[in-house]
Amino acid sequence: MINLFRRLKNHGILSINQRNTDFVLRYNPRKLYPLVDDKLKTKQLALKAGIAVPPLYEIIETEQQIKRIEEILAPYPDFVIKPARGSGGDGILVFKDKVYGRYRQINGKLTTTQELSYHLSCLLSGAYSLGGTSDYAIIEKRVVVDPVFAEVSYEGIPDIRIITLLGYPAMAMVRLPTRLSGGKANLHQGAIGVGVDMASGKTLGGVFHNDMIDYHPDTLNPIVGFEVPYWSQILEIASSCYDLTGLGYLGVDIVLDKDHGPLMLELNARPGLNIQIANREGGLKRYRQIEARHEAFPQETVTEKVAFSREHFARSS
Amino acid sequence: MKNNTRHIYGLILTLFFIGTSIFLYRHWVLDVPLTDTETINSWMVESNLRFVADNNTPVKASFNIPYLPPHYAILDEYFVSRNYGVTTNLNGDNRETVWSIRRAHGPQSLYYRAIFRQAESNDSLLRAPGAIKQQTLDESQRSAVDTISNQVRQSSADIKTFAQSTIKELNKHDGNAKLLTGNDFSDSRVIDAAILILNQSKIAAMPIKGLYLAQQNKAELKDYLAVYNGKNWIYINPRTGGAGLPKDFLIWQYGNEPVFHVDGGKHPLFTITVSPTPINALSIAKSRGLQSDSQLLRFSLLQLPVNVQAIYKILLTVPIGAFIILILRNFIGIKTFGTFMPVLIALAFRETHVIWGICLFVTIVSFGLLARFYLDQLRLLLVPRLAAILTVVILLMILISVVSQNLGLDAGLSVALFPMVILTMTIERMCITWDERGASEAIKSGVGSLFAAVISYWAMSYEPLQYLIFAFPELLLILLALILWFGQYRGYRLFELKRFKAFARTIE
Repeated sequence: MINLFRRLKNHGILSINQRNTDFVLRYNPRKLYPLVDDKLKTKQLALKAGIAVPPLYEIIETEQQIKRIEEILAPYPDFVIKPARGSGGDGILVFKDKVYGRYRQINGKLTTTQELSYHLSCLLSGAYSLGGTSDYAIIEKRVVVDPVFAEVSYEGIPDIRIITLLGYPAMAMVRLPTRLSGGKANLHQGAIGVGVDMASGKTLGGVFHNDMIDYHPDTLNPIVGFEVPYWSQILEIASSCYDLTGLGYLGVDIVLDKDHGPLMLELNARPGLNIQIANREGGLKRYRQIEARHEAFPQETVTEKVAFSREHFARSS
Repeated sequence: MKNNTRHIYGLILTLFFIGTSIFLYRHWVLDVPLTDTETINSWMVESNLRFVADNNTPVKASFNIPYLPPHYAILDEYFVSRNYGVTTNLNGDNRETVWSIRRAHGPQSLYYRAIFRQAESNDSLLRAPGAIKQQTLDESQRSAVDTISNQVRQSSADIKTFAQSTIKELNKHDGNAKLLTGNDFSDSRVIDAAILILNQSKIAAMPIKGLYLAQQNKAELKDYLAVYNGKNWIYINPRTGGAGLPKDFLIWQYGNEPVFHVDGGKHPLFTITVSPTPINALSIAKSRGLQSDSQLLRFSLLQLPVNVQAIYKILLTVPIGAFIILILRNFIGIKTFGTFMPVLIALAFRETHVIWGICLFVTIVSFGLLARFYLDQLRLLLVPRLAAILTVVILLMILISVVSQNLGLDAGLSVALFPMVILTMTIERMCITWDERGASEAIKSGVGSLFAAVISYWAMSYEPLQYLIFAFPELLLILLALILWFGQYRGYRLFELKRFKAFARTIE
C-alpha cells in the first residue's frame, strides 16, 4: 500500500486533495466560477472572443414558454436541450428529428411533447443544477459527429477534453461514448477516455472505468493511433479559454462538428483526474513545467503557449 | 505560497499552544478533573441542637461552627430550622450561628449542615494571643507547677519542645501531675493542667475542640492543645505530645467556651453526625470557581443552567464528528450524501442506538425511495416533490412508532428523533444519483453515509471524550489546529490508490 503510494507520487500523479488545494483553489478564484457554471455565459464570452461554439437556438426560462414549446421548437429539425447550470452531463437531451409528432432522441427513444415539457419543468426547478438552485434551459444546434469519430463511438458525440494550466494545454484526451454511458461523454458514466499525444494529436490508449483498454467495447474498433483532425486549432481554442475566463486551471471540452469543425462546448473549473489514466502519465510534472515557464515568460501569446506545449509534452512512443 | 504555508502552520501552532496551555492551566492549577468518575473524599457534618422551648418567652440559641478550619474547605453549608431567624457572627476566633424566635412551643430542633473537603491550605487565621493572665495558685499547686516546669526545662530547647515535654510529663501520672489534674487524666484535664504550667512560664496556650472525620453517628468533640511560639500556633496532641494537627482533625472551635448556649429553653442536647459523601470532582471545581477569582473557571460551561449544559454536552461533540468526516473523506475517500449529513444521523443514533438506528434509517430511506420513484411518475416539480417526500417520511415515522408500540418494541419509538428534513434530502439525492449514476453508485454512497455515521457516532458517544471536551472546551482549539493541519494533506486518498492501482502497473 505504502509502496503504491510512493510509486504514484514518484510518477507525479495528481491526487484529488492536491488538485483542490494546489490548482483549483490557487488558480481559480471563486468569483469567476459563474462564468463556467452557466453555459450561456460561457457561450457569450466565447462568441465575443471569436471562438466557435454550437449556435444557440432558444433559451427557455419560464413555464409559459414550456406551454408553447412545440411552437418554439417548430423551426428546428434537430436540437440539444441542456440545463444552463447542469453538471456532469446530466439533464442533456439530444434530439435527431421529429416523427409522428414525437421527438426522436439520438438513442432512438421517442419522446412526447408532454414528456419533453416535464423534463423542461424539472430542469427549470433546478433538478440538474448544482445545489438545486433554479435554472434555465439552453436549446442549441445539435453537433453532428465528424466522420473520423463515427467508427469509434456508440451513439452520442465524442468530445475532446483538454486540461489547460494558465493557458498552456497540459493534457488531452478524447472521450468516446459507449452503450453504458448512454451516449454521454462523461467518464464516470461509462464513456472511454483516450489519451492524446500533445504534439501530433494522435490517440495513445484508452481507459474504461479504471481499466486500460485499446478498442471500443461496443464497436470493437481499435481506438489507438488515429489522428484527431484540426489539432492545432483545438489547442488554440483551449489555450484562449484562459484569457476568456481568467480561470487558470480549466478543463476545456471541444467537439468536432462535421460542417463547422471544432466547437467549444463547455468549460469545467474542477476537471477530473482520469485524464492521467487515459494518458498513462501523471500530470504533476507537466503542471510544474508550465508553472516554471509561466514564471519565466509571463506574457506569452496563445500561439507561443501552444508551441511550448506541443514541443515539451510530445510523446516519442 | 511559502508565505501562506508559514502563515497556516503558525496559526496551527498558535491554536495548539493556546489550547494546550489553557487546558493544562485548568487541569493543574484549577484542579478540573480529567475524568468524570474522579471523586474527592468529602465529609458531611451535621450538627443538631435540640431543646424544649419555654412557653411565652423569646428563644435565643447559639452554637459555634467551624470557621476556615486548617486542612479543610467548606464546600457548602445549610442552616435548617423552623421559622427561626439565623445569623452568623464572628466571635473572637470562632464563628457562631445565632438562632432566634419570638415564640416557640415544645421540642425544637436546629440543624447546621456543612460539606467539607480536604484542601491543601494549611494556614490558620488565628490571631496572636493577648497578654497572658497568670492565675494565682495555692502553695501545693505552685510547687507542683515549679517542679514540673523545672524538669521540663531541662529536657527542652524551645517553646514547642517545652510544651511537648509538659504533656509527656503530665501523662506520666505521677504525684505532681495527679495534684494538678485532680487525678483525672482525661484529655481536657491534661490540657488544662498543661495550660496552667505553660502560662506560669509566660507561654500562651489554649484548648481547641474538634472532630476526627470518620463515619460516626454521634461524634464527640475532642480536645487538642494549641501553643503560641511567638510566631504561630502549634498544635499538640494531649495524649502523646506529638506536634502538628492530624489531617483528619476538623477544628470546631478555639478556646474553652461552651460549644452551645440556649436562652429560653430546657434540656439542650447537641449532637454531631459525620458521614462521608463522595462528591464529583467537577462540581467541586465548579464551586471553587464561584469562590475563586479565576475568570477562566468562572466563564466555563459549568456556570450555565443545567438544561443548557445538556445541550452543549451534545453540541460540543459535533466538531468531533466533523473531524471524523474529514478523515473519512479526505484520507480514505468515502463518498457520503451531503458533507455533514452523517454527523446529524450520528446525533440521532445517540438516542436510538446504533443497531436500531441503522434499521430505522434503512427502513425509512428505502420506503421513502419507493415513494419517490412513484412520485416521479406524477411529474411533480422540485419543491412540491420534496414537500411530498417530507410528508411521506413523517407518515412513515408515525407508522413505525405506532407499530413498534403495539409490538412492544420501545426502540421503535425513538424514530421520531431522526432529523426528517435530512432524511428527505437524503432520499431526494439518493434518488437522483440512482437515476443518473445507477443503483450501485446510489447504494454505495448510502452505505458510505451510514458507515460514516456509525464511526462518528462511536467517536461522539465515547463518554470520556464527551466529558473531556465539555469540561475543557479549549480542547476545541486543539481540534481546530488538528483540522487545519490535516487539511494540509495533499496526498492520495485510500480509495484513490485503488483507483490508480491498474494505472500504476502500466507506468512501470
